[in-house]
Amino acid sequence: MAEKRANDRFLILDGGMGTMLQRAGLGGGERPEVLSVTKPDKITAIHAAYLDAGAEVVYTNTFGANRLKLEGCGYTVAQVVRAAVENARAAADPRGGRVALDIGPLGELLEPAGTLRFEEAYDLFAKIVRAGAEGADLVVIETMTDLYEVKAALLAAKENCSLPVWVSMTFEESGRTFTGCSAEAMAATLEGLQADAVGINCSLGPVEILPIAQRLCEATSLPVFIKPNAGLPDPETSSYDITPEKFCAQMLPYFELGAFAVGGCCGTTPEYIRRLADAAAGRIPREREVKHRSVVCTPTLVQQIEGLTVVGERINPTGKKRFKQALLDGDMDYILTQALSQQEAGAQILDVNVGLPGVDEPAMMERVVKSIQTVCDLPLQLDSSNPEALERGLRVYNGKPIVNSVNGEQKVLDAVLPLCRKYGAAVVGLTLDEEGLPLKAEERLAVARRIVAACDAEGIPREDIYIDCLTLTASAQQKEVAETLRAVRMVKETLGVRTVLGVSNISFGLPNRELLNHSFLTMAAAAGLDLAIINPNIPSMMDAVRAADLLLCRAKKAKRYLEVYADAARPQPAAPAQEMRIEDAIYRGLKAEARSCAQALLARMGELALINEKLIPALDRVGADFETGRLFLPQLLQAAGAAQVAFDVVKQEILARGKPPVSKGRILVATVKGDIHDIGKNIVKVILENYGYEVTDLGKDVPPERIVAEVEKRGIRLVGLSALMTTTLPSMEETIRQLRKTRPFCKIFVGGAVLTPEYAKRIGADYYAKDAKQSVDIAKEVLG
Amino acid sequence: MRANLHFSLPLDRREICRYLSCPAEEADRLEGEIARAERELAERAAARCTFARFPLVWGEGDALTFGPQIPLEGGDIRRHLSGCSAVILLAVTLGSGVDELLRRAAALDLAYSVLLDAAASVAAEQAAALAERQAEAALCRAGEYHTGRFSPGYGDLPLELQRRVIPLLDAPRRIGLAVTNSLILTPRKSVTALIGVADHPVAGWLAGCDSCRLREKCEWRKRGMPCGGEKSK
Repeated sequence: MAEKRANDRFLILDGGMGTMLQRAGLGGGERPEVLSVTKPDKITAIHAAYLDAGAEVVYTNTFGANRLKLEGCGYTVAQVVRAAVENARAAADPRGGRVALDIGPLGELLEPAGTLRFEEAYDLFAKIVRAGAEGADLVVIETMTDLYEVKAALLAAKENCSLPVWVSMTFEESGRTFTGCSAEAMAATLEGLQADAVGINCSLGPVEILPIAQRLCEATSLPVFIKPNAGLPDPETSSYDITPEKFCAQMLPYFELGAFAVGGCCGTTPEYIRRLADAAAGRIPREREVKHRSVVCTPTLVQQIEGLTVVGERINPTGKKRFKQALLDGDMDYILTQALSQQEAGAQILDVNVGLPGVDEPAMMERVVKSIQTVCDLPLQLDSSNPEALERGLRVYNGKPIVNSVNGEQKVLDAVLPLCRKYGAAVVGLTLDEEGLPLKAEERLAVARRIVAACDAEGIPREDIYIDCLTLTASAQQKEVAETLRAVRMVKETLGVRTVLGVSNISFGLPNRELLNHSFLTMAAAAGLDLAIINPNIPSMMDAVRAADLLLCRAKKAKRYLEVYADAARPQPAAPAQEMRIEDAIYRGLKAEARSCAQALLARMGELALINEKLIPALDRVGADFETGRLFLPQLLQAAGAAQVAFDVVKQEILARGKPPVSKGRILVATVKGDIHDIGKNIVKVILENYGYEVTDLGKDVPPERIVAEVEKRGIRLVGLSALMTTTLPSMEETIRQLRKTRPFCKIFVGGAVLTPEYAKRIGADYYAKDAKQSVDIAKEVLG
Repeated sequence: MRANLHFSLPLDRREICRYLSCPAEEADRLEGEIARAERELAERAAARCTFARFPLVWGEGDALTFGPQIPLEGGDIRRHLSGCSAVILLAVTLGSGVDELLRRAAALDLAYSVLLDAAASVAAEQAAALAERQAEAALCRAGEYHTGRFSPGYGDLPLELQRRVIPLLDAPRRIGLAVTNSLILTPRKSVTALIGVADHPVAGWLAGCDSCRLREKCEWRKRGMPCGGEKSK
């Protein structure tokens, strides 16, 4: 519908519903949606007033008609939504108007800011769509501030009805939403997810929205619609400050902007819409020129692929024992440190590969994607040959990702491209097929051509295609190195797509790999490489990236180069640690010193002796001084951090030598369902690890079922549960109840601000731990 | 009404130390990290507030309600609002950027994450104090007096009140502040509060330890430095 109407004239949308309810004396209640059932005539009259004023689309009175907001109102979602659609239809049918099923925010925040899961949000939205689609002409998702919530709503609408779906979000004057989403991130993500139109509504007036609307129009080829408030609210009265005349005058620039539909939001009434309709009459929406840019994004970071762009390769188990162990243990913390250290080093996109025998790859992909996006705003490249793993990752990814990878094999293209299209992902295509990897550049181009044709057929635009001409190992295929570079050039010039290479493979089996890697990277950059998949933690690789930026004049003013090297005095590597005993390094919380002491000691003594004779006595001294008030919490935690570093040295050594791990037993810790306070739990975890226990940390807001399943799977004998709120103690009790039922021999300790030893006993815990130190005593008692 | 708040620095070192359960003198030793926390918070916080005024209705016996007949339960709030005829309802948040900062720190460095959390709590308190002054300036008339802030969950005022306060202020739409099913405010570093308004001087009443749930195990109280004690009557 939007597409058909876009060219000939402006479409006029309605104005504020809340404002009209207030005028009708129906304001003030917390749940205006119920009025659709209790006062249907009044709601129909409001719609009719807008239609008579010239609106052609009316939004149903269902802004907050979701199960969360309607709880306890006496009506079901289906009742309220159906009534609202009928009210709107009653006004629209005789007047030739159209009805938009209105969907507003759920009112609770989604994970990770809140506790509402993406899947729960999807279900809540799907319920509204299923109740209201029949009878509506389109679905409009509006006043959204969280792109993740928009994705849940948009998928729910697309998968549960066949109506066009429009989405409008609400921005602050800063040009971002409350959750930091920019107009460009919104555009890239929603165009990918195939919204039918995008827009901006609420929060600001026409003047303040205009610059943001301009940015949105430049960033998307979708039709754009705008519904501003009647200016800004008055600080004292909360009423809006511009008249219908002024509103209309301020809306004039939108007719030149390339928007296709306009209306009003809070504070606007039929009078505003009448003037707007009059002003729009006879005007034709301007055609927009949209630049097709290669973009991937998260809500807060839009990565335009312009010049050499660094894809960090470290989230991948291939050849990495420590990473494999982390995947097998479900150790998210380790994976997150890999993500963050690559970001720190200059990665702009992170490749995520979690395929490993013995690991449920689809479930792990979903978990890792969700975990990384709670702490890191870099866009992700989902790397798997398993379509189910890709789909699980794509579904929960917040933004526009890349999928790595398809190749020229028809069955791979058939399985993966529809997923990329559905979820709006960019695509990496490897130039190999059923026949294997062709050696000649021309043959690789031919495979690339087939991949591009398949993408064209699927509707994936050229700017979203990244062809990987494949780096061959120089030790085995020395001559083909030049063919790879030639292929990069040909693919770019002939097909107008972007290119990508995994660089490190070039040096496999050769000495001084670092030299070959950064030399090849420079050559590939000169050939026109766009995405370089590298290890950004190696300084010479990032040096090569920044130098190529400058020499190839591919980044604006070589900004990245100057930022790093302008102050010629580069930070020197840290001075060698002073001679120090490891006990003192830990006591004083000195990480670098603790690391070098541990390395030196490992050469002289065994892992177990180091732990039992050095680390633990040092920690005992810290613990004792903490108890007597000679040390305080900050020092205790710094000491724990230093001990953790020393422990990592031991772990690395054990993995490198293939020895069995040093473990005094495994303990599971979690903050219970509904609770998101995790500082106490984090402290307990680190201190337990310091004492040689292996800790499975399930994080916060963990359902009892997940705790029970993990305890069963790993045969865990000691569980620590944390809750900080009186409101989440019932979850703790329920978790204990479920554990007792299936794992009667498992011991449970509990802690948290509102707990007391008596209460712990009452809910069936074995132990109450007042602090982290006590949890170690409990662990010693139970596990030895 | 809603407003963006200009984040106020420096953060109160003494308060940060109190949240970290260490003596105020420790602030000097922690200065480097506190300064880093201040810098990061100033960069990522987008402090916003919203407030509105409602008449207070003193009914029969213990009944006290405001706005659309929302009950205020517990002796502490009645004492706090004693003599008042209206309340200002206030909500303040530092925004979701701070939560992300905290999650990131927790993944990288436990000691710093604990300090950053304490600093963010102090920042939220300072933002609330600033919002309180803005609200009073906007909503108190000449010749009116007001009490200090009193929050749900404080003393014996039920935390369940959050579920009424948030929709009443339209806080999700106005400032991006919501409440979870378990009554936790999200974003995490946020404050809601009631301020009493009267036509004669009122002092308010800050709940002391008597009605506090944590009374028996509170470390601060044991050390003779209760959180609200020195201010209460």
